[in-house]
Amino acid sequence: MEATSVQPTIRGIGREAVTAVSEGAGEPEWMREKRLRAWGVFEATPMPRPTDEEWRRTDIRGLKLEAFEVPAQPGGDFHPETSTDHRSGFVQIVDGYVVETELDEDLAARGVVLASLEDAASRYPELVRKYLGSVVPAEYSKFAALAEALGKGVFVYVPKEVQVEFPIQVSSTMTRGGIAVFPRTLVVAEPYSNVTFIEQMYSDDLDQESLSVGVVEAITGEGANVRYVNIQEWGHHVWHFLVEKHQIERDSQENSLNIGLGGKFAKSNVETALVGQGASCEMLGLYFCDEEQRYDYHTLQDHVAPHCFSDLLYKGVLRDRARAVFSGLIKVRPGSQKTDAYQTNRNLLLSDNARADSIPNLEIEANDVKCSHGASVGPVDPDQLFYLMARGLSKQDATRMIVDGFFEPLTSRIPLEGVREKLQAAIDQKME
Amino acid sequence: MAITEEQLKQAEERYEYGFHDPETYVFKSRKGLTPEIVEEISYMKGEPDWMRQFRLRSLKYFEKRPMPTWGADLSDIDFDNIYYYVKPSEKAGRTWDEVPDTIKQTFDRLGIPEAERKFLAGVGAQYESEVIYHNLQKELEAQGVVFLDTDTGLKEYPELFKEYFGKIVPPNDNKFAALNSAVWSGGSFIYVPEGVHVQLPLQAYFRINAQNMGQFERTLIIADKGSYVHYVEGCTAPTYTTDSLHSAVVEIIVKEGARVRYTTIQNWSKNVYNLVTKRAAAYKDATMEWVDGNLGSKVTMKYPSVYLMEPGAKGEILSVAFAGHGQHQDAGGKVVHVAPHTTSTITSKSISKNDGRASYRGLLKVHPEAEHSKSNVRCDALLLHEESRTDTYPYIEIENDRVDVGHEATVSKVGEEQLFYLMSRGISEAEAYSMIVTGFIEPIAKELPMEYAVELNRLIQLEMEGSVG
Repeated sequence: MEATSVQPTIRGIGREAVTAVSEGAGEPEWMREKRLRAWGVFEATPMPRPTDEEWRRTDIRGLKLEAFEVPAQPGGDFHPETSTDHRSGFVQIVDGYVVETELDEDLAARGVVLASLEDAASRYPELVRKYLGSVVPAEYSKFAALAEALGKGVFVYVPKEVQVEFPIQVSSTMTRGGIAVFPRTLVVAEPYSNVTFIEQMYSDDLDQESLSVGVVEAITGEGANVRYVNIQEWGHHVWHFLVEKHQIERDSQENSLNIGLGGKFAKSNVETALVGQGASCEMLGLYFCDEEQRYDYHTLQDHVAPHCFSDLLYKGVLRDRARAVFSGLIKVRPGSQKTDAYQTNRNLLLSDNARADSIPNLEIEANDVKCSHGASVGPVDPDQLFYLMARGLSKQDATRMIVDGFFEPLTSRIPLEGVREKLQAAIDQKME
Repeated sequence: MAITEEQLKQAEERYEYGFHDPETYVFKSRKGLTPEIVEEISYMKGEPDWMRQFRLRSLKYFEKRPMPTWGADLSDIDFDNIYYYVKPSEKAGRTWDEVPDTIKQTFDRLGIPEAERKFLAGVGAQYESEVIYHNLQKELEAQGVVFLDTDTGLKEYPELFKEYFGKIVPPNDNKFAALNSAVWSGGSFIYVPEGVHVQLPLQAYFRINAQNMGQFERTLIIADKGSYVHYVEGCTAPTYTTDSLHSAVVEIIVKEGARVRYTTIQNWSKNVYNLVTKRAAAYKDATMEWVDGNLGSKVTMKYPSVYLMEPGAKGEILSVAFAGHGQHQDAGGKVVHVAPHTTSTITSKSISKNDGRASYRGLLKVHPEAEHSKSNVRCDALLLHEESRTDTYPYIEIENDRVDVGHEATVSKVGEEQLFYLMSRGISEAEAYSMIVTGFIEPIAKELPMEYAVELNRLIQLEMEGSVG
């Protein structure tokens, strides 16, 4: 790999690693400065404490940032993402390094860009400078700052009025324990364009803890249409932090789907800012937590402009001693009249020791709005179970069928059949 | 719908309880809070040593705890500029004739003696820090019902206080519970013996008169097995330019099969910080009901809570909040299901007018042992103006798979169709608004004793005047 021009010495998370990552990628000076500035923000921001409202339910005192190594090169031995689906583009990332990029030639000719963020910084500096960090600044949180300082990832750019017919897929994996990766994604869809983007993170279960701290920024221009899917299937050894924020402009439409199955711990902040009149978004989430997994979702539907629509539905299944927190907020800013906003969180508990916290919040500062939210936590409906078992299904099969039915409205939204099938297999495996 | 300065001023002036009396007190502490002032309060009350120690310990908790960083903006509270103890008269009267004239006139204007004659079983009236009047019907006294001010309660029933005082709301529960525990004075102490049903409500009336006053009443209610009591409290204060602080603690024990209903119509003037901790523990097959109406105050932070300790216990919270100009009502409720087969309901209705802000903040927690519990939470918000604000913060924590819980909330404005319908029948716009609002809170108003429902509707109508146009 060209990316390994730096000596492959072991280095931890620190200022040196920031410079090394930047030099290794051969980035322009402004990009390095941006990273170092973010590192300054990271250092100046205290670690979240259990007394902070956002972290009251989620304990990360077990996280030792200094224990992780920032890999100087990708591991050679990885499971490549294989698929027979029709795709417009594909990127493989290994241990934080982009090792393969493919893009439909026709789309490339029409100005679509699919590149590693580091390459893009040199080749399309005006675009990257304009958009990178514009939706999630380093000041967003300590983890966002860390991802900006050390992040590597993918840049997708769809010019005005270009329709990308098939999904673009990014697959990211880790080959060994003890490492830290910082996946960063920047999606820019210019006015009246159309693109579907699927991002997957997956690995085996490894002995040693690993860390993934990512930031996704997606900008949907006026009248554009973006579908974004994020599937987290890290091994059970991974601490996963993700800040994913969508900014959607006038009359645009955006659908996001976040799926959480893997990791030891996952903290995701998923936000959509509706900044132009008539913008519309759907935010879906699916999580299945087992064993000792800890998930914490923070969602925000930020209505900045009038006449916008947002609809959020997060569904989770919990078993064993797993614990999930859903904390969502619909924020309607002053002047955002005629807002239509909905928020629902449903949890299915499959064991006595599982625990789900659900906190669907509303903050409304305009009076001509329609807003509602709902939350529920409960067991598998005994009547449904009885009905299925009376027809000869075992309790386990009946439960699996109920869980599949619970998730179906969400899984059916996954645009690639191959991905959908693998996901279904992963859910079934969790039901074993 | 812009409102003029003039209308705002009128709205302020309309607070009919905004008058105040000259300050002629038996004792008024220095401003500010020190261990010496706490000692002084305890000394003047002639308390047992354990209570003095309890107060001093609580003061330490208060000093150590940071201000809450969530909820309403409390940054303007100046703890050094508050009178923590003001004693208006030497002793509490058993008849209104024993109450000093100026104070009696105040309560006359508030209509308390009249209400007492008509439909109350007992009345307590607190003026500043001390209860100045207390009376209970003779029949109830004969049945062993105790209804006293809390200071007298401590003197006469020390063993009950040792057992229950500060046990439901420990002094270190939160910063304002700690403050109350350090400087508490007055409030009601109620004991209802086994099987006794108190048919008519018992009422306490709280009045702040002095400027920069802090009122810290402390209420303890013990309902013994199979008993029933309905306790009602009302609150008002004069309108001053500087702020007052009201920080109460209420502890309720509802024993097996008993039922307690606690109704509050809070109508403090719009310069009072109202920061209150209210909590009940309900045991086997017991029922606890909070009916909480918040209309007044500048800032209210109050979340009446029920701990369902044993199977069959039931909790119900009805909360109605009205936030007008400059007000923030951060209200709601908490239910903790500790035992299996327990049920709870929270119903919240809020109305935000002008730049008022009404927030629902609730907690529903189900412990791992609380199997087969059921709970339902419902919050509705009505926004009257473009600049009005409403928030909903429902915390749901479930540690058990054999439960059934749900939360629903809606936010709406006064429907144009509803308005049109009423106005086409010849009703003025203002009246139509008022009818819609009254209809919105009706499910809660109907739970109040008739006189209070009338009062609540009247207060809301007063608040609604001038809100259209």
